[in-house]
Amino acid sequence: MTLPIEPRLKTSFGPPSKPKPGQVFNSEIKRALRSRGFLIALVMACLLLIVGLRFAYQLPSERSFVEEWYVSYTQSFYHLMLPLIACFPFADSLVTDRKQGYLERLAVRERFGKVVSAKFSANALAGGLAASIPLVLLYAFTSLTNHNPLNHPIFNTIFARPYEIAEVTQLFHNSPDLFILLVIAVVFIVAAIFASLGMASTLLVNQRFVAFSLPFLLANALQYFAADAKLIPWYWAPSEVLLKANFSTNHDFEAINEIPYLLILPLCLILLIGLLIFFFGKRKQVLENSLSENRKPKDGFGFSELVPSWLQNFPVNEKRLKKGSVFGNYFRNLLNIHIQPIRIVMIVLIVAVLTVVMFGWMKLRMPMFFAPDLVGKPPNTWDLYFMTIGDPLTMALIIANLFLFMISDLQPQSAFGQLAVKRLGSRKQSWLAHILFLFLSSIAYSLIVFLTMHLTGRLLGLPFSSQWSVYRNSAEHINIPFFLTIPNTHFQAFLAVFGMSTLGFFAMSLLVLLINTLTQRRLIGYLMVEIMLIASLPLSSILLNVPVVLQYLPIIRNLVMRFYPFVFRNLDQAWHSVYAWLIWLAILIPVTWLAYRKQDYLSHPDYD
Amino acid sequence: MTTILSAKNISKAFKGKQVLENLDFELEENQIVAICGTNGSGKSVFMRILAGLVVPDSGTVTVNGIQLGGKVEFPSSTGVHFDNSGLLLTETAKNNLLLLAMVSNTVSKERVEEVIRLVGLDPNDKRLVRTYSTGMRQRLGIAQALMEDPSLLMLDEPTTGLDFAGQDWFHELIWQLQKEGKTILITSHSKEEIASFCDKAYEMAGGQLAVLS
Repeated sequence: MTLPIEPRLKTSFGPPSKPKPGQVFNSEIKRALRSRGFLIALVMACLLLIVGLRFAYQLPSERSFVEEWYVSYTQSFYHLMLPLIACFPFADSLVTDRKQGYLERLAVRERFGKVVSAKFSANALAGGLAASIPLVLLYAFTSLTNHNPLNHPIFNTIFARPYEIAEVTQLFHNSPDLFILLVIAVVFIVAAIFASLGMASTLLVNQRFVAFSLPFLLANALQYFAADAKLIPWYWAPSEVLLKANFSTNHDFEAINEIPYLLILPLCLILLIGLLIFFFGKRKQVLENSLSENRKPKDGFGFSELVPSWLQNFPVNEKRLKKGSVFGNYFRNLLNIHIQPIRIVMIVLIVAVLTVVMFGWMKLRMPMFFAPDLVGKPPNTWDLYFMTIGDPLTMALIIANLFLFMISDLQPQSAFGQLAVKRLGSRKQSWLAHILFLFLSSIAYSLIVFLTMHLTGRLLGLPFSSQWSVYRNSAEHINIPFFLTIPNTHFQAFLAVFGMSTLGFFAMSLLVLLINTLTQRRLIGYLMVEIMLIASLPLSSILLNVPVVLQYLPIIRNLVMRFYPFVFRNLDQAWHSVYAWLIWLAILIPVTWLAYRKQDYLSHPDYD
Repeated sequence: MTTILSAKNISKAFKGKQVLENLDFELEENQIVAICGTNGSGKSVFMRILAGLVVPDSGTVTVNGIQLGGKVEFPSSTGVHFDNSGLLLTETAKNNLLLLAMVSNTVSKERVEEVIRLVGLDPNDKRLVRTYSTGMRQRLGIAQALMEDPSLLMLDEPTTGLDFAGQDWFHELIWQLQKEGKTILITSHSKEEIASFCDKAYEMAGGQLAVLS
């Protein structure tokens, strides 16, 4: 039996035709600008600016358009989210093109160097445009809607204006349009650099999520170390490079000759990108790492190949065969597959590093509590724990972020997971096992964080004490309301914080599970919930003068007991967050079941 | 002959695209039946519906006299193997099967080792599945489908990635299983292949099944 060939079809082709000059770049930029990622990035950036605009509208009504624009920009968390905005459009295309074999097809038609440079240029341009177009729109909006005169004296002393001494201030005062264009140009360039870094990092690790996460994590770590912990010089903070003056690093531009310092970070990032391309971007390396879906994955290069197998899996206990209940064995399997030793090691390492950084910050901010002549109880490991877990940025960007990332691979089910569900024989039991898994994981994760922070504190020389220290009485950066700090109440305070964060982790993980189940994509849920979490930081400040129910809508308010501008929390308010999480859970648990009940287990690759 | 599996009036659409439309199908005991069709014709979706993994928009599936949906969501005494082998790449072949065997709760360690040998692999091989070729993974996927000694086997493109010797081995295995009284439903791209060893063959096109002569 042979299939007939349609006579009108052309069956012989000549050698592949060479593209016209610039054709590869044109096709790549079209792909980038028409991608869903570009649209998502634009929407995300616009949403951030809307949040910032709400801040601007709280300023006195005498504000001019440039103050409105600048405050919207600086208060929108743009500097933290810029790497994600820049990388969403096209930074992962090198990975996807390698995996789908598209890159090979391009490479036989055009010189490889040209293909790579076209890809990087299109990516940089798309990243820059995704970050700068919303700022241009904001510029158009503010200049069309605000006709107030410039330079009202009421704004001379508040944060609505950039530097008070450096030359940039003159630009702000005298040529505001030029100032705005300068900031937009800087944002364009920095976004293009972050987008290139995302793409270049996938030359080293052939994984999509690396393209998004590496620039994001690097930028936020630099921001943290330079602006919050102050362990590295101010000019390493992306917020400074992005001209987000005031309150970013507490560093004031005192003279024009400091401006060249702003070039250090971009130049270093460009150097890093250049090194990655030089060492890992050669034709042979890139094409050999190409991984068509049908080829054997050993051709690929992933984190799992760097980790010894005993760190990747717990040993399989053969004695469990034909013993126990089917549900119990399914659940045990779930634990075995998803709680890998390497994950626990990574959590402990990351939390320990975070604790060390926070300890450095604690000493820098409050050196008097570490002086030898201190009167009263010295800071102890409880202080370090409450301060670290009570920092909203630490919670949003690291502690909660890490947990959400770790559980994000539970749904959609891998091909192996589908075979296990079929053997289990019940969607309801599979759902129950997943819910139970997330609940226990939330408790276990909170406990690991707690123990790691205490242990790291002890290793750093802090005492383990059952009494409140003097640090507690004067520090405003500690996640405990005053009513919980009566003598010897560490344990009650711990239970309050622990319960609140554990319930929060559980509810957020259910949301990740739900989004992943509905979209049948692995990282979507994690990214969406993390964005919600970060967006809740400015949102909580906006929802100040609204009914209490709305005040507890932003997630971060229910994960951290108190932070600026919510420095007080009374005893009755302590339960508000618990109620908020219980409402989340009451909605999410049945909704996840509805999603599971009708879920189609479609083809998914065998994940590492 | 007894009908072991029947699907009536099955329809399924994804994002507005109708993949299967009012499809009827019956499978009789101890037969080797194949479904062929082009990429995207809906063969795999249909197999997943028969295995209970995909919920049809309309229609019913009955396996061994029990209708799927409601209390019984997945057919019992059925071994399935899909286009992705369904294996943990960071585990050994034996551990993969042991983990699945623990869930089904009916398989002994000896049986696990036996099926691994049956498909031509070594149960004591300490290499991770990540290092296996596509053909070796296919064999291991078939082993997991055979592990519980099911009466009905559903194999989705089982010969993809197998070399000529591997394909011959597979045909021998299928005939052997038929002799043992099992019913086998497979999908394939190749009409030539299925013509060589199947009792009955269908072609899927436009969301419908047509009998191939």
